Amino acid sequence: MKSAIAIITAALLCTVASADVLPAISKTEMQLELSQRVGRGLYEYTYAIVQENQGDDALNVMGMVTSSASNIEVIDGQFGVGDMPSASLRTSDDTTVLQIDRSSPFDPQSLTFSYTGGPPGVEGPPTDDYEEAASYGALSTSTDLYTFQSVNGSFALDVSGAYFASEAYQITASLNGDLVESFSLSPTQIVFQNLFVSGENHVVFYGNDDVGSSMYFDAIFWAGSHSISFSVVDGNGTPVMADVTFKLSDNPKVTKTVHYEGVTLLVTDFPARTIIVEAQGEDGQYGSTAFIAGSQTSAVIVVKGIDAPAPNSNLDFQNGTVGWVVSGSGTIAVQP
Amino acid sequence: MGKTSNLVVLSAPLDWQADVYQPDLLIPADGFVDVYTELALLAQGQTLNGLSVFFDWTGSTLPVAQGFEIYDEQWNIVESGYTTLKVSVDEPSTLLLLGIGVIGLLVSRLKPSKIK
Repeated sequence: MKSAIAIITAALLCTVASADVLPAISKTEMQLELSQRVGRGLYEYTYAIVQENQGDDALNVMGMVTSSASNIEVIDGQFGVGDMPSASLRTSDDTTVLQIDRSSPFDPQSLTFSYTGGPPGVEGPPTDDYEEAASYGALSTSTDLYTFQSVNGSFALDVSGAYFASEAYQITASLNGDLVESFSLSPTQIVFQNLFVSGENHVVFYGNDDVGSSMYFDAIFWAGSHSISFSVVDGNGTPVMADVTFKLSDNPKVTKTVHYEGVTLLVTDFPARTIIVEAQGEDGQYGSTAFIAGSQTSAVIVVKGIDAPAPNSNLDFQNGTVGWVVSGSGTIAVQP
Repeated sequence: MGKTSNLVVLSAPLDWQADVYQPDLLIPADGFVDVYTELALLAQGQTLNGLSVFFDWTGSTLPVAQGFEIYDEQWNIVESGYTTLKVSVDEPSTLLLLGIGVIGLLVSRLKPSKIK
């Protein structure tokens, strides 16, 4: 399901589905299904969620959990529930995963559960069929998903074809599973100031428009504060003008391309991850390297061209060693 | 869920660290004692004494052997089992069992002597 959502957000277009936020549905129980130790005092717990519908019938109910506790990280906060008739209890179809630091007690009150779904006869909320869901508007952002962002950079979502609800409580946003409580809201834009942290930034947004339809956005951005200065040279150490592309090894679609003019360049905003560098010289030369941002501050990229073919018509030794420079002793035999 | 509470480490072997994580009924999850070292080497076949854990036993019957797990540095379980109960209990009706000595490693992590 997440991959489908990622495809949608990759196009930086998120539909406003016809699903509503469903306050009449609430979590009643978390059923532990699996636990796994992932660090000293750190465990990942997988839960099925039981919820109760005290309102009208609801179709294709989806749930989301966020955490406000410092010792709880939401690893997978989305879970499908399915159809819920009025006054029914239902266990989620899939699970949610919480990483809990056991050095502090687990406080379920720090978790917030929210639900979306549609009444009978209306399309449901984002699912595997998300692309086909009815759309009444669009969320978009000018923040490039496929380049490196600055740490503490701001992030804005714009809505077209609808207006954001005026009440902030109808907005839920999270960064890497933690609730983002500070934002400025206007009818057509919501801005999260100083949002990005170094590394991966998983942004999830739930909200209502002014007529109560729900909006949803889910995307991963990468940000960093490390930089590297570099030059591009040929095999003789002579600077070579080249286009240089820096790619994030975790997701090679995240890139930054600069043009090298023969003077050392400084490129910034890399997270502390492995960065792959590829240089394409103006005369077709090519070179590549890689570095770990933060542990290396400079690099020299050596590019090489493709030499002309050797002027030797006897490359297959059909004429013995004619045209070859042979030193030492030995036997050369052409195998059938 | 186990039937222990109020875990306390009374002593740990030299150069071994012992951290206590209390049971959490709201998860729900058992408590455990995490024992590890970055300084000492526990060679193959070698035994080590000196870990002493105190806890309240809330069960209505005699306490049973406690589970343990041994992890590698990637937190994969390389060994698991149960401790052997070596101390008899004179008053099984009481909920507090004192002085149990080396009950065993509830959760331990062995690590090579390599010093980071």
